[in-house]
Amino acid sequence: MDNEFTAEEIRDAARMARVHCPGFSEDDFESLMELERRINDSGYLEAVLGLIRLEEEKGISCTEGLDACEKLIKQKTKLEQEVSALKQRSIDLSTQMNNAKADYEQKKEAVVRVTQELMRVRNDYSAAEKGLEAFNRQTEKEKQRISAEVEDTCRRANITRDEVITAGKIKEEIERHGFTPDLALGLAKEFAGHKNAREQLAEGLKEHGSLNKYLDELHDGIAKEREKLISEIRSLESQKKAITTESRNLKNTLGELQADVAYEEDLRRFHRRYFPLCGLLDELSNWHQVFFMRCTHPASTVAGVFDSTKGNHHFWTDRPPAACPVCGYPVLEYDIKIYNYHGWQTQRPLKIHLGE
Amino acid sequence: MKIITGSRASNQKEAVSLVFQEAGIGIMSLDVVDMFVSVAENAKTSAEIDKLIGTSVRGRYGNKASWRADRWFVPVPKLQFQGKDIHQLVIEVSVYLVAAAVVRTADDSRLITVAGPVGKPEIVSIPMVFLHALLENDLGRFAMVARDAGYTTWEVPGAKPVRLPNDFVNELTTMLKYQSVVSWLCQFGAQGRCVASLVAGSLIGLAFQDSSQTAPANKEMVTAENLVSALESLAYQPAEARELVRMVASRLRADMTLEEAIRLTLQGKEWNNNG
Repeated sequence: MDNEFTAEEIRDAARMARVHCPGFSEDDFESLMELERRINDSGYLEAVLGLIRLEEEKGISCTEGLDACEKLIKQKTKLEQEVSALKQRSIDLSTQMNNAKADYEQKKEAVVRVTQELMRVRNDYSAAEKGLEAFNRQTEKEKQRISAEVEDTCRRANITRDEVITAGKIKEEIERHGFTPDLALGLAKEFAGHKNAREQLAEGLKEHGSLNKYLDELHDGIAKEREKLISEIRSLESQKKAITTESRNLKNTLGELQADVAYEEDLRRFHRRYFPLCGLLDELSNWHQVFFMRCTHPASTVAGVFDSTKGNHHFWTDRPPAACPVCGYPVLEYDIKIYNYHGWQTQRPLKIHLGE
Repeated sequence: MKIITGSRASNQKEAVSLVFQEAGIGIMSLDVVDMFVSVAENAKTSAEIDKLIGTSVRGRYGNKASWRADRWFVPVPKLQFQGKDIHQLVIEVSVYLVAAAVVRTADDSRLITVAGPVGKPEIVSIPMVFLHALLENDLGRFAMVARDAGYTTWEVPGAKPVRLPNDFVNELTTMLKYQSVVSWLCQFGAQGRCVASLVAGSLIGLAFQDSSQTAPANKEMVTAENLVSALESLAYQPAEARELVRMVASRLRADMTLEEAIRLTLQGKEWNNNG
C-alpha cells in the first residue's frame, strides 16, 4: 500500500498536530515529509555532516563553503568539458596515428613488392635478351639454310629465280581477274588430257556459243537425269512396300498352316492312341447307365499300401452293386478319382454319350 | 457460531483467511495478527471452547452427534482513533475460533468448519503520549502502576491508567524500530489507513509541542477546555462559562482558532440577551 498521504489526510494530520502544537501548519507537515525524504538520502546527511565539520574544524561557514563549493563545481564543470574535449582530441590523434601507422605499413609492403617485381623484371629482361640473341643466331642460320635449299631446289627443278618471279606475277594476274590459282589449275587440268586442248576448247565454244551456255545446258541435263532417277527410286520404293505387304500375308498364312499341321498331328496321335478302344466306348454307350465303383475293404486298403496291385478293387457295372464282385465286401463307394478326372458329377451313375 | 460445510481450514494461515472473510475484513498483514496472539491465547479455555463447538454441532446434527476437531484462534484487531479528552489509538481485539471438525451421526459422518467470535472483545487503548514516549524510547516517564505475567498498567497523566499486554508492547517496540508508525498502521489494511493521518498528526504535534511557543489566541485551536478557561479568564463563573460553551457548541468548528470561538460565544450570548 502506498504510504504517501493525500491532501485530505495531510489536512487531518496537521489539524491533529495543532492540538498539541498550535502553530503547526500543513506547510510544516510538507516540510517534514521533505525532510524525511532527504534523510532517506544518505548523501544529504553526509553533506550536512561535512558542512558542520567544515565549520567546526576549519572555521569556514556554511555560506562560504557553499560559495566555494559552487566555484569548485563550476571549475569542475569547466574542467570536465575540457577533459571531454581533450579526450576527444586524444582519441582523434590516436586514430590519426593508427591510420598513419597503417599507411606506413602498407607503403612499406608496397615498396618491398615493387622491389621484388623489379628484380623479377630485370631477370626476365636478361633472360629475354639472351633468348633474342640465340634466336637471331638461329634465324641467321635458318636463313642461310633456306637460301641454300632454295638454290638447290631451283637447281634441281631446273628453274631460275626469274621464273619464280614470273610465276608470282601470273598468280597475281589470276587473282586480279577474280580467280584462284587452284581454279585456274583445275580448268587447265580439264584440258590437260587432250592432246589438242586448244582446238577442243575452240570447238566447244563454237558449238555452245559460250562456256556459260555450255554449263547451263549441262546443268539442265543433269537436273532431268536427277528427276528421272528420283521417279525410278519412288517406283522401286512402292514395289518394295507391296512386296513387304505380300511377305507379311504369306507369313500369316504360313503361321496358320503350321497351326493346322500341329493340330493334324495331335489328331493323328489321338487316333493312334484311342482308336483301338472305340469298341469299348461303343459298348459302354449302349449301357443304360454305368457305375464306376470301388470296394472299400480295409484289408485291401492296407495291402494296397505295400503293393499297388493288391489295393481296393475297381469295377464297372450297369446296375447298382450290392457287394464287391471280387471279395464280396458289402461296403462300396463311387470311384471318385474317375469322376473327378472328368469333372463329372459324383455319387451318380453315368450315361455315356458319344459324339457324331 | 457459524457452521460451514466442508473442511475449510487445515492450518493457521487458512484459518486466518477464513476469519478475515467471515468478519468482513479486507487484506491485513499476518505480522499484525501475530502481534495479538497473546490476547488470543487468553481466550483458550478449552472446556468452554469444547462446549461451544459441541453446542453448535449438536444444534445442527442432533444430540447423538459426536465430533472431533482441530482448532485455531485468530485475533482480529479493529482500529479506532479517539480524539476526545486525550488522543488515543483504540484497538478492539476480537478472538475468532476456527474449528475443522469431523462430525459422526448415527447415519453418516461429515466434515464441517465452525467459525465465530469467542469471548468478549479485548480493548487495547494506546494514548498518543504513550506511543510518542515509546517512539522516543522514554517509557520511563510514566509510572508503572501494576504488572503481571501478561499485562502492565501505566500511569499516564491526564488519562485513566493504561493496561497493555506485555507481548504486544514488546512487539510494537521492535516493529517501530524498523518502520514508521504509518507503515505499521497500513499493515492493518484499510482501517489502518483511515486512522494513520490522525495518529501521525497527533504524534508530530507531540514531537513539536516542546519547541513551540505558547500560541496566541488568534492561532491556538479551540477545544472545549481552553474555551471554558478563556471565558473564566474573562471573569465568567465556571458554570456560566460551561453553559455558554454548551449553547454555542453546535456552531463551533474543530478548525476554529480560540479567538474565533471566543468571539462566536460572546456574540451568541448577546443574541440570547437581545432575543
